Amino acid sequence: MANIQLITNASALSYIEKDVDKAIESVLEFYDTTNSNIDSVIVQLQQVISDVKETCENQKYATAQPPNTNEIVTNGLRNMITTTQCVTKMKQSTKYYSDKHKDLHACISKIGKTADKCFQSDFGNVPIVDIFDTTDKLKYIHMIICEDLYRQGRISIAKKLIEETKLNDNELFNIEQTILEEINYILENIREKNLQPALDWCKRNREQLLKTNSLLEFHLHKMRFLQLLIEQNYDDAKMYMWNFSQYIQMNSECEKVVKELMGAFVFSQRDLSKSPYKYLLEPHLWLQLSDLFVKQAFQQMGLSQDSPLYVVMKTGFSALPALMSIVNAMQNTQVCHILSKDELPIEVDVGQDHRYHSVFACPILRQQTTDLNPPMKLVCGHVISRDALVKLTTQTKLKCPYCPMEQNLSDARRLFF
Amino acid sequence: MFGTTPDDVRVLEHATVKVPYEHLNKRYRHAQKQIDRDSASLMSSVNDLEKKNGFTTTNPQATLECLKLCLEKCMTLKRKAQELKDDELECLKSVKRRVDHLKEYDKNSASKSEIWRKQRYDRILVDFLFRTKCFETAMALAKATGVQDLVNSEVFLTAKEIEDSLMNRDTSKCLVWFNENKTKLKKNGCTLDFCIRLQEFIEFIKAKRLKEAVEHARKYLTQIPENHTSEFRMAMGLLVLRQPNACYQSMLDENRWQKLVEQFRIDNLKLHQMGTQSKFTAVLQSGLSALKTPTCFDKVTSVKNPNCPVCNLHLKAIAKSLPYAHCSVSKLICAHNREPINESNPPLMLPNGYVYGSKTLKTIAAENDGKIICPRTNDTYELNQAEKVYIM
Repeated sequence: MANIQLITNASALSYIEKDVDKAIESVLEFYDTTNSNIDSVIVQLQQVISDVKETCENQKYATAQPPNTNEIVTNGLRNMITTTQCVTKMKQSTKYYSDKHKDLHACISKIGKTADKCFQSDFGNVPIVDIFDTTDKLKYIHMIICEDLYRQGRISIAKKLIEETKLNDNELFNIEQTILEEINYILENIREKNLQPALDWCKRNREQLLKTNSLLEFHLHKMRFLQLLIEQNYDDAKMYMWNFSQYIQMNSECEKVVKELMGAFVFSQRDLSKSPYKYLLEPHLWLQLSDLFVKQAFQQMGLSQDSPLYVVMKTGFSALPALMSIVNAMQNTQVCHILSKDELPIEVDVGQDHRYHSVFACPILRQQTTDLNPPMKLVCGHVISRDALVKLTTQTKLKCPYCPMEQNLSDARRLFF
Repeated sequence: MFGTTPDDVRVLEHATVKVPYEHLNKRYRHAQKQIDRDSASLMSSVNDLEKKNGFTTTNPQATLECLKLCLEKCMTLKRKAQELKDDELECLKSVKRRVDHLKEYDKNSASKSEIWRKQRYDRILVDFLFRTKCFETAMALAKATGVQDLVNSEVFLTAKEIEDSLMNRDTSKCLVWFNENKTKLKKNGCTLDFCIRLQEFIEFIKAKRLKEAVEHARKYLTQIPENHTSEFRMAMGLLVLRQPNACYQSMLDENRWQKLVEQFRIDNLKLHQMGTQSKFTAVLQSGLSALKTPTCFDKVTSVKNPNCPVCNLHLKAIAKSLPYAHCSVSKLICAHNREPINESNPPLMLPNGYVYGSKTLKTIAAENDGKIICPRTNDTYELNQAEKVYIM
């Protein structure tokens, strides 16, 4: 057990890798030895066979002639000895073949054992309840997946899902099919690294882009410029530069990017992928670009800019390990069932980008306020929850827990964040 | 059990390595059987040769025949060995490919980890689609996103065939599957074979083929797993009753086939070490919980934010039964411009009790000649009517 303690996240995979490599090596060695054993047996057998064949023919021939008994006996004996040698060799090789393969089991099963040690085989004590317990909920999640597929520009797969789950198109987000098809077309093209449809879309939606200060068009131009550099189409690239001029004045971030692009332009005549600007070619930038487009397109329609499912899953990927380790630590005290309680036992940092609503936690009771227990502002400006307010009140008066001000219960005001 | 807090890979990727490992293990056992068979066959010829060899001087012809047979078997063995080698190596390599894929998750490289995470999302989605029987969609998505090698589609497709045949009241495929994996299944405490035989017995009774039913029971229903005794008794009771009364009606229910399918599905997932819970469900739950705030569900204070995934109509229905995120320190964002409310953007309360960040109020005042129109109630105030509030 002591070993297990030492497995860190980084080492877990290398342990398994080592075991797999070891197994591959052993398997190769085993079959190579087997093969060379069999080959030498075969050579030997072929030799003996041709010897014995000769003897047989000699015997046939001998029936017509007076037999040379001496010679026949010598040949016979010699054949007998070589055959015996062959038999021994075959027995040895066969034994090796069968026994040594059994021995391989150790190194093969080691892979499985290491995997069990390095990974959690299930969600342990995190009681993952079946949240799709009703067909309705399953339908909802299929709809969410379907919407996500639309956002990813996979309209044909989304349609397959609609067909397979017998979803009703109309229940999906309220967008005209033609708009969805247009978005899909643009996304498909970005996937194929063709930026033109997206650039055209920007032209048609310039007004909206300006309203939201979107940098989508700038990033599209940036990518197109880089494409020209990769194609070594320097003349067009030079011409293309003017597309950036308007952004340089508008936004300091753009200015920085443009400077980088000019640097890349200088290096591109040699080899951009070996230059200091090689990070401009990283493949995830394409993912980010189509993301940026989807954000803009959906935001314009008053819908969530990110795929709700993707956001939830992204948060889940970081939350689940934390939840599992807290449950593992708690298992002795039997306070598991964390997903059936009112509130998670630990705080999961979702990041500022994913805070969508204000949460007011009462500084006295450490509880989140709700409609039934709303936040209350005291006369002095300090805010506590109503439950705390009532608890602190004797008769109708209370003293603020943060400053010396005495006040009446009825002077507290309800707040709306 | 773990020295450090296990990360997302260690928590989620057990099956990624274990599924091809289980396949490797199965193929290894298959190879051992083949090897034993080939060896035994060669050995019998070798023993024969040994006997005949004693008479080589007088009867070389017989020895020659034996030798030729041995040679032929050696050739076969060589050929088979090559096949087994290829098979086992291929299995090992598929384990290695999975490990390599997990190793590609380099958290220090933004580019690599972003692509890897996207791929993980895709493959977990594919897995969920398979599990919820959207085979076409799952296959198409796996192909489009290039994760075919990582999603165990063969396991699901084989299972589909068996499930379909069970739904068509055909037990043969399922029984073949059971016998192929008998040792392992028994070790997992699987009783599917009994349940299927029992169902066959019930079907005989339904068809009024009582004699065959009895024969069938004698042949297959001799060992009754502990937790199935009452079910077994009920089935036997059916044999006696011509017109089954209400309490036996459940035994005749067509739904029992559906249950067999469910049972098969769970046993098959366990057999392949795929986990009976889909990762998708677990991750989705944790994510929804971590994002769930009282505001998503409150009616009065409701501040709509189209970007909040928990407020999404469909996800809200799923999140309803889950716990709220834990929050011990207030985290406020301005309801109007959604910027965080903090020291650099302190909260101000309008006389109607609605709170905004000071930046928002300044912007609104600038746009309306110093007047403030509450974005949520449309009440109009002067900027100096806004009061400071202190959030501890």
